[in-house]
Amino acid sequence: MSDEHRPGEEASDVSDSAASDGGTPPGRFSRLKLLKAGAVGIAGASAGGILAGPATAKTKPAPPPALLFLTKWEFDYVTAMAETIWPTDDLGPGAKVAGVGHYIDRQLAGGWGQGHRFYLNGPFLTPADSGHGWQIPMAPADVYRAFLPGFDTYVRRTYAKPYPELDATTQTAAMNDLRTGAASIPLGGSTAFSSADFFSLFRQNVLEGMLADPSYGGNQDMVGWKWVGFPGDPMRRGDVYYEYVFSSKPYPYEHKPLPMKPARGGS
Amino acid sequence: MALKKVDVVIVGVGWVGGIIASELTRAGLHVVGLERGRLRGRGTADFQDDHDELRYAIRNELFQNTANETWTLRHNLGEAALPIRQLGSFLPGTGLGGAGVHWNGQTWRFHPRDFTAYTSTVDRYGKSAIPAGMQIQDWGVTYDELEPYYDKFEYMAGIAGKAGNIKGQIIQGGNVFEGPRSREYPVRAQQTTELGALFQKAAQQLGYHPFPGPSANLPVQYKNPDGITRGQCTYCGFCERFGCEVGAKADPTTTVIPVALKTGRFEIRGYSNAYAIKNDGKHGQSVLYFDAAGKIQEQPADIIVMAAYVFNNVRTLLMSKLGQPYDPATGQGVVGRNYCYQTGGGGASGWFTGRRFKRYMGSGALQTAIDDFNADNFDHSGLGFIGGGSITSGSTGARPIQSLTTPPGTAPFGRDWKVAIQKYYASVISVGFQGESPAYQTHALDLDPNYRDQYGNPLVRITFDWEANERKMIAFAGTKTLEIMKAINPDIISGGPGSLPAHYDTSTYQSTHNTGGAPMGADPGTSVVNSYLQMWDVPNVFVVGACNFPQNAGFNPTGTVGALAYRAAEGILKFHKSGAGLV
Repeated sequence: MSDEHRPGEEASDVSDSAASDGGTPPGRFSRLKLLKAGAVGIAGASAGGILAGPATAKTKPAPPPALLFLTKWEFDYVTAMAETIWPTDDLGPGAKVAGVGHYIDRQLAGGWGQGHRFYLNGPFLTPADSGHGWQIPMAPADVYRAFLPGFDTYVRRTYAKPYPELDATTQTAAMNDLRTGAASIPLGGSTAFSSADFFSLFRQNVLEGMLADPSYGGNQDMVGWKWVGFPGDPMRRGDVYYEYVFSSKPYPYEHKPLPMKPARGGS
Repeated sequence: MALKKVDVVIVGVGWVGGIIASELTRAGLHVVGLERGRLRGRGTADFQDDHDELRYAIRNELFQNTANETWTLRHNLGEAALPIRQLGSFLPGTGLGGAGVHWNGQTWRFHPRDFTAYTSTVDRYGKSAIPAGMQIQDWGVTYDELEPYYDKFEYMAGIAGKAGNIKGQIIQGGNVFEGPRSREYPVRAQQTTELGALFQKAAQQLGYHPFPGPSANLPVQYKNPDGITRGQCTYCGFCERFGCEVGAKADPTTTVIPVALKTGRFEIRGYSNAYAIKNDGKHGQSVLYFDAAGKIQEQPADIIVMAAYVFNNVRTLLMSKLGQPYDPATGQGVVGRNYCYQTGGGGASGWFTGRRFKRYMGSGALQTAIDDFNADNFDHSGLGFIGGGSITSGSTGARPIQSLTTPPGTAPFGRDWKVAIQKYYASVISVGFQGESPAYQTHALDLDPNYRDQYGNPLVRITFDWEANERKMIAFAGTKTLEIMKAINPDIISGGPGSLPAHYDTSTYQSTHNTGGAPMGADPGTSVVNSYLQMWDVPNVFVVGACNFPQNAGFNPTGTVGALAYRAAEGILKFHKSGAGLV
């Protein structure tokens, strides 16, 4: 197993990762440049600290990825809503920094969002009781597209401004309207799909965008993993869990996660 | 036109199909295995880069695609069944190795009492202890009869554990409630993590009998009697819903399937979706299946083995008009009878302030257990329910998307929540309960009248809900897990009398331990197969798996499924030799 990855070899890991990574966000791009220049010894060095240095002044930030499914309006809405779930604040980065909007965009454009694993054959009956889950003829991408304008109408009517323009406290109130089902949205309102159902779906997608491997477009610079203390792909440092799993010894890499290994072509 | 006839055709190449194929091919029989899913992408080499929680655990890479085929669910006979439109409550595997690739590796033997659940309950508590409508049955096989097959499965798979009963001698430190074993486990028990040790100490303090959970994830290298050597677990924490990239987790693709293939007498066909057995009511002639191009193929064989997951074994019998279909309104008939599940709930959680555990390390079966409140290991007099379950705690791998945790009263999003998930992700301990699921007359499987799969065939309709007995059992379980949690003494505790939702919920994950529908037994009036899993009406058809359980016990099912598969293989060989009749 991954014998080439032993403790203390993190730097080469990061070089691998960044080298194969096309449209990386500014932080990682800069760090790659620095690593190549030999300015940084280990992956765990704080990106923030490096960015503060003069070396980055010359580095052009990579442009944000293109949108694959969401419209710009939908993207701004989703990004603002995701920030309410996992805010960026003085304690640490949140959904926007992590790229959750782009994560959700890609998920909705892909197989899951397009319903490739959903059984969407009729008839569509109104459930007689609880416990039947998803019972509408829509894939998740359809739900986002249909739901957001309804939510926008609700938010403007109730709070006078579109969601992205509200202050954080009012955004929290509007999000709670979704969660409790108090907001009656056209797609919702019935027992088949309520605003509370949308809240559950959306919150789950935000958690994924914060905590899935960065290759999916969210969790940039692994900010979600660093926040909770998840070390990422366990095999990137080799089989080192043996030494820790049965002891009370702390694992030193909880806040220095590594993503999955980039693919290597056969040679 | 039919394909060339073979000795045996097996439908489904998971644990059951793999075990039976390995036994029959080594005895000289020619076997064809029909696997509905893929053959590639299911082996250790394919899982080198599988530490991807989103792909495998959230987007369900290794499981049945419900867009193509799903199930419908109604809570009672008067309700219209609705399709399960995305995976939720349970996650059946598909592809080579089946669910045996993505399981956790928790490998139990059922108790002697479980095999005589009806008789033992009546003997101890009287007939009145069994609630109206409950339909528990004896298995038609005893624990002692099944013991050699359990042993064979455990030595093949390399199960790590500590015996609590060898030939009647009780051994402290093992499960003192288990039935007698003929010998010790093949592999030494796993060590205990910090979390397991907290549970162990608390349980001991309360006078219970903790022991290391039996595991199919090897703590040391092991060579099995078939000559297969597998390496030790890395404790990466990616077991359940993932394949094992080092082969430490026993899996059909790393054990029995290679053994069968090595004989040169086992042919596996992927993307081959069986749907019916052609028959004349007394003899099965061939298996009909859709090939990768959607064309119908016919594979004739002397012996036909149904080794698919619970639902497709039952569906194939119903579509083939084999055996008398069960009617839940009258309790008559057998095929679809006694569908059961697993009753979860009644767990307790505890949060420590300022103490972190390495919850992301572990393996799917790395846990400490007590069996004091399972089966009939405790006196049920005056409790108002029968049955019980296993109580466990440990380190089975805390992938972050699924494992964030906050104490009760925390806001579900926003700054306070963000602070709480950071504080508690690594600081929680949970004590879980996995309970029995008894059979009821009105719980059943049949063919749905409205909804169809991708080929136009009817979906399986499940009729199931939680009943009063299980609600009382879960309430009781919650008091026990809370008692243990209090002894563990974390800073914040959540627990107490457990409860089940208003109705069985298909949308949230509970357990992939669906059972029944083709129960085994001694009476053809209440069972589909005999104790060798051979159909009473059609002796050259064997139906094998958790579908044979007359009701489900308070343990994970795979150990018992493996034992039944070895017993079936023996029965098939006997039948092949004699050429006719019941074994």
